Amino acid sequence: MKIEILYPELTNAYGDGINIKYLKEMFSKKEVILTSIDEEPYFVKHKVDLIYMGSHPDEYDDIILKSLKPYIKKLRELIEENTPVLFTGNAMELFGSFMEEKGIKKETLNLFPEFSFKRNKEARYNSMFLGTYGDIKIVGNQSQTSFMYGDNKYPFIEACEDCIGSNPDTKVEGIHYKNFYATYLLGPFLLLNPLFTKYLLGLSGYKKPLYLESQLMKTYENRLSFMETMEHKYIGPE
Amino acid sequence: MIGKIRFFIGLWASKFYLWISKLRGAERDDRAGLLAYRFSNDFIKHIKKPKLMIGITGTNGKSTITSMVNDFLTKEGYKVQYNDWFANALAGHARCLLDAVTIFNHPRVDAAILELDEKTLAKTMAYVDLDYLIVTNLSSDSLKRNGYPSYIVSKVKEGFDSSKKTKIILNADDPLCSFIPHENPTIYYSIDQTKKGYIEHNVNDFPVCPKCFHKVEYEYQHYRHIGKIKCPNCGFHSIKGDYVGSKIDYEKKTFIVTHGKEKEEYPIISNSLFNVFNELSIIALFSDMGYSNKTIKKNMKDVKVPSSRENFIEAYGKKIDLQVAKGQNGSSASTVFEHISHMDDNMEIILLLTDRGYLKSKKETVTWIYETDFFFLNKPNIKKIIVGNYLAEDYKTAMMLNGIPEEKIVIAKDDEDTINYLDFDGIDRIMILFDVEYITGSLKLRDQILEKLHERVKQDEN
Repeated sequence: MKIEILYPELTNAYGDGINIKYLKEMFSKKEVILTSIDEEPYFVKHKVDLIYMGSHPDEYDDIILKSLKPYIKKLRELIEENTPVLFTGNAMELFGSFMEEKGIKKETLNLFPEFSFKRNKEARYNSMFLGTYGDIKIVGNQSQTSFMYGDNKYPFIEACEDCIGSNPDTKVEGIHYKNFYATYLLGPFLLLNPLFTKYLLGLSGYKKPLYLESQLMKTYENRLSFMETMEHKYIGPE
Repeated sequence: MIGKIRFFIGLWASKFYLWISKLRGAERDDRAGLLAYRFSNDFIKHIKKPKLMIGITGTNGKSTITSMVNDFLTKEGYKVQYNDWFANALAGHARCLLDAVTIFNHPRVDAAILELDEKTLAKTMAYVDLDYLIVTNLSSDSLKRNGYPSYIVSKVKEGFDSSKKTKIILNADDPLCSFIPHENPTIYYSIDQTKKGYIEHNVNDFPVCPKCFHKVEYEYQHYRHIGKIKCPNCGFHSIKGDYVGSKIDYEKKTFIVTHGKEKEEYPIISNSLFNVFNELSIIALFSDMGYSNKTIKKNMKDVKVPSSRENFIEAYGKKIDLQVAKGQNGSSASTVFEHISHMDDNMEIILLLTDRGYLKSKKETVTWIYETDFFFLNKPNIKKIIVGNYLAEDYKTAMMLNGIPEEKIVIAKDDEDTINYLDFDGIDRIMILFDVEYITGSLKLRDQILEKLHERVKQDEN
């Protein structure tokens, strides 16, 4: 396995660093490539089995955009070739056509021109989330100051009736195109969703049990047990 | 004019409400302050302030420092107004200040101490004419409320800018707060190297240089991101302290404070490094206010960490140690865990960190649990860690991810059930780590432990 984590020193915010810690625990040092902001991504010249990028504080938007821009064509090629990619939290915001904040539009990487994003730092949306991806139930946290807009051409997760998707007017959460997955859900996404993690790593060719799999499953089932009772009382926004 | 009329109606109404509350013994509450705001949106702007106004803000430690400043000023004969139940939002400030004036809006105390929430700092600071503001530290806090620390840094800057005359006392060893650009007169405090090496934490609140975005290096690290940093790329580095603590001796319970050419030995009031930082900040405050080293030293003997933050007793041959470790805030719990990792006693730990407000709604964001540095508790002398509530499996997963053997982790039915899993045998210390909202519950648990220990002694005697 070769798993590339893009810019971990900057993209470990809002608990997403725990996904990095988890991957580092599960795989050897040789298998997890940590690419820092001043380095060329490993995927440019080598085969990778999974690319992961987590959330970043907003003030790092520009430096990440600048660093990734020269390699976006290569990233697009890899996605077309079915390379598994997972972006969590606000990482997704960098790959639409633009980000709008206080009426000012900033160009982003345009990997998915169908989507754009609108941010208001003073209005954080928090919610416990429950949804489905095919047969897999997805749980997690939304805690975001922006929403994604555009058509729902590449739906990833279908939010349950008490939750919103990528914006308050849709039940579709995130982007799924070929083996590219992006979601606003943040925090320990891989740990909270062992079934999806197994599926994703399966796409990368990993067939062994997950690290701490039985404990992750117990935690997942425990969460579902209270989320799915009481008519979804325990999910949705605060 | 209308504003003033509304203010006086608000003052009288809230004072009347407060009078009734005091008769009922329920005055430790913000509701009188909320009532004042109902009548007057700028209530704290109009209310007269006492001669000395001191504010304390920061992610962790502000309640402790507020209480310590009160201890000192009271010892010096000041009549002080402060909320000892740590109300740090606007209604709490109004509640504090309305008790500090007469019904004619004349100050009736010498000083007020306000604990200020860092997110709403500007909303208060613009109106309360602070003489001093102590900033303890800034770090990750509740994700839902505060987002990322840089957002809070921007809010604290707004606070500084809203009252440029206020003298700021800043922790130079916290790059998040000491690098905030500002124009206020400033005093910096710092502590010399306290440990060798660098510990990689689950969360790094100051990962890269704010100037060039290169990874920063630590000349030395105290805990988490607190320490002396430098950027190997552009040379950006930590600010030098005006008051520098050194030679902390936990056995002798002393440390040295250097200010200019003066060096003075002070007693330490707690065995935790984060409380030495808190103490140093108030030494800087009172020194700048003109108190002699001798007076400060004398008064520090009567300054205490509030029992709602640290509570220690020794009974039946066991140490029972209660420590606050804020829920929803991995930085607070991790710092306390690091402190515990320096203890060699055989111990059992009960975790009561889950936010009380979410026990019913079960909507607590679990991110912080996974971010917390449980690896500090992976030590042979820590025999058992007990946790019991709807998030217990998350705690267990986070602990296992941090290397704690599964057999040491016990899941109880609920928080109250945790004491049923204490073994006591071969145990020197029982640690109860509790969320700030669970002071009463944790004290109740401590009393139940004492009863159990008492029964064991009686059984042994029989």
